[in-house]
Amino acid sequence: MNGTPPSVAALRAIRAVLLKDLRTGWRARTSLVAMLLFAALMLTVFALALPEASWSNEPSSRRLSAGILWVAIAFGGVLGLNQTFAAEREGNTIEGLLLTPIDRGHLYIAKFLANLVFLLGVEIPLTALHVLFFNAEIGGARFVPYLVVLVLGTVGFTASGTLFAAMSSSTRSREVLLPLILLPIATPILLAGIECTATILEGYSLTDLDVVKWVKLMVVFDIVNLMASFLTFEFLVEE
Amino acid sequence: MADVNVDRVRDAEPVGAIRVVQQLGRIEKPVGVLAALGVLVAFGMIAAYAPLEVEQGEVQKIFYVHVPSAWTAFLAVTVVFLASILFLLTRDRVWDEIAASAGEIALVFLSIVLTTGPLWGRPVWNTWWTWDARLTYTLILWLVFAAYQLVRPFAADSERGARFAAVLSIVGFVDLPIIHFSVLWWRTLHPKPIVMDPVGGKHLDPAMFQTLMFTLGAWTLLFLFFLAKRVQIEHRRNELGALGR
Repeated sequence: MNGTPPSVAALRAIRAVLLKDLRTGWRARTSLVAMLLFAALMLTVFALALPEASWSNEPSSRRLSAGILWVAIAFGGVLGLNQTFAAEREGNTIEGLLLTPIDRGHLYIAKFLANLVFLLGVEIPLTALHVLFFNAEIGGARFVPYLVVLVLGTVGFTASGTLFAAMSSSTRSREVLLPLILLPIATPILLAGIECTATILEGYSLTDLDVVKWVKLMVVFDIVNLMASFLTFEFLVEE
Repeated sequence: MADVNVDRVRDAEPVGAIRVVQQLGRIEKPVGVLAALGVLVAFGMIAAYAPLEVEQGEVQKIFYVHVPSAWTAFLAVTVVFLASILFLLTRDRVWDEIAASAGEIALVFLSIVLTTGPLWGRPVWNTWWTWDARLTYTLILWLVFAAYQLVRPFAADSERGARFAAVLSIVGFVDLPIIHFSVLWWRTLHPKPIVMDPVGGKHLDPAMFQTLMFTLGAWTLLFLFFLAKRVQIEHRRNELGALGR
């Protein structure tokens, strides 16, 4: 890296790891498909268990369907996050990755971005199912705020999720620990996501005084957790 | 050569965190006696000295167990956070022993808070549980610290478990204010803090205030005693583990 400014070198390293993860994730696809199927299953089970959630003329149904959507994202997300480091551990490729002269924080950023892309990708069909199963109206002026909320929430969830997945993947029973750690800590982002999505479905704007604080809360959660994870990730991947 | 080593061991002042363990070992007995006396007197004061609250009657007296337990739990959580940072910075296992001990104590007192709360809520609010901000917050904190207990046993080795637990407690602690605001905005029914309130504070009967302050002191001593005792045990356990290797 002689002559290259450090920031450029870091960006190149992040891009290399990110592209590797996207490529392997896309080629295997099992984790992606499992994540999508599981989340879709959650939507189906909840739609059957709570028929009120699909009654389009009830105001409370919008809140219910918003809650169901976010629960499905959270649980599907946990399933996918568990796989990100598990594959690296199984193939022992994590050692190779750690031997490269890449800053641990940058490694975290790459992993975070890969997980973010996959989870957001899964959310596209989930959104369609949300509309289909629950008669959610997200067209017209509601579409952009709906997407903004999804992205803000997913960034926060993936930020702490990627960190704890790295932790959980090197424990004895890999899958068990992640939801136990991640879900309580991710409560604010889930509550904020539900509140904002419900508000949009009810036909209000995100700039309304009551809702804008939830949007701010999501932004703060995203920034705080990205920073905290960036700084502490190195302590999880020491061998 | 051997003599030199023995001299060095004898003369060397213990450095760093091990001193904290030694100090805790030294204060363990006196603090234990004081805490036992304090808790006994506290219960006496709660029963005989603190006046009956006009509207709630005797039920209100659970407040003198509830509030100090909440205070102690948050004190323990703060100790976990600080000890975790010191562990990651110094890699001295003693800090991890302190964090692990305080983490257990935090869970114990959070459990007391979550048990005494509904016992009071049933007669006064007419419900065992409500999704009020403070209740939800305490429950989430309890869930985080329950998971915290699992990180060490789940980890492949104790050194890794120590690092993982430290990271969890630091990230968890940093997120606490955000969790607080999120559940505060969600729904709320909890009585506003009366003691700290500049106007309401005057309404609290002096005998009630004194009882509360006394129980706070007694519970803090109890926390110190638990911490001292638990850290000694954890330290011995690690020493034994090192011998076994």
